[in-house]
Amino acid sequence: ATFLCKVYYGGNLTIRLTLGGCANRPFYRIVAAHSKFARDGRFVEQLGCYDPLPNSHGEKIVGLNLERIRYWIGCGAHLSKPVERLLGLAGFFPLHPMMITNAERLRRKRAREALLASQKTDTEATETEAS
Amino acid sequence: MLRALSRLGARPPRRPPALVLLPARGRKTRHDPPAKSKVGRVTTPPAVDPAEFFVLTERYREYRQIVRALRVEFATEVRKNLYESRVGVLAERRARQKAAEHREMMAWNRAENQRLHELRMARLLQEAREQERLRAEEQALKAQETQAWVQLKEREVLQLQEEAKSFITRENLEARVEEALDSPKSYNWAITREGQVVRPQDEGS
Repeated sequence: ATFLCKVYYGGNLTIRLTLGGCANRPFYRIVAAHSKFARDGRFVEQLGCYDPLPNSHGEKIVGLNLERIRYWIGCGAHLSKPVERLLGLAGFFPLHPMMITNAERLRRKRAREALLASQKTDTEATETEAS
Repeated sequence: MLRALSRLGARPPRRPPALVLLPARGRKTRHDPPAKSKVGRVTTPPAVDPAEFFVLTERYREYRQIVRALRVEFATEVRKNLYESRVGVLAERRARQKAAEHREMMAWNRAENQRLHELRMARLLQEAREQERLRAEEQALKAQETQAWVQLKEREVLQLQEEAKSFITRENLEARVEEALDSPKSYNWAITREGQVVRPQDEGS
């Protein structure tokens, strides 16, 4: 087999993120590739991109080729967790349960911290009143 | 629900495992031995809230159900598209259109060939006629030339015949010799640059 035209045993077609960009500047490409290939190696088709750093308007840009994603999922492609999350956020897939759970946990933590902070201010106020 | 909670259910406390479990890979690879400070380490999994766990399992079940349904739908769509492209109505129409186009192009090609053939025949006829004409002209020229040559030769012969009348023969010999001796000829003449002959009798004093 020629270079980069290797045939692997096992493995499956996966839609995953390929890392590119420079130091301190990641940039992901959403790519359909054989799961046994390197992360940045040979892929079958590029299906979109994801820029994790927000731009000047505070937006994180994601590009998705939904037609081709449908086709590859119909051909039996697996999806990686980040890709599932992105598709859930986009609305193409349902929201990932872990994402909802993490959001709830964060909200509860923030509520607890806010409560603690308010309690501390109340106690300080009572102490100052007492003194 | 019961299955979810039974997973959290009463289990005997875990003994320290024989091999120390390695956490996430950092500086060391999987082939490096663990450090001495981690000899008696017992890893404890994080605490799980049963209500949250139950809610999470339900959510996962629903999520996987939906995703499986989506996959099935996409797979059927792909197969339908494949079938349509091979045996569909559009494919048949396209095939018929292509066949018609092919026939049209072949007919046009035949017509073009016919036209070019006729043009070629006309051109070849024209060229043949031209060739004939040229050859005829050449022949005429040659005939004329031979005629002229023959006439020239005839004229030369006649001229020679006439000159032969004034030749010197054995019978005329003595008479001619007497005649030449009786008529002296003077060669004392010069020629100017313009080509005029200058004789001494005319100009000399």
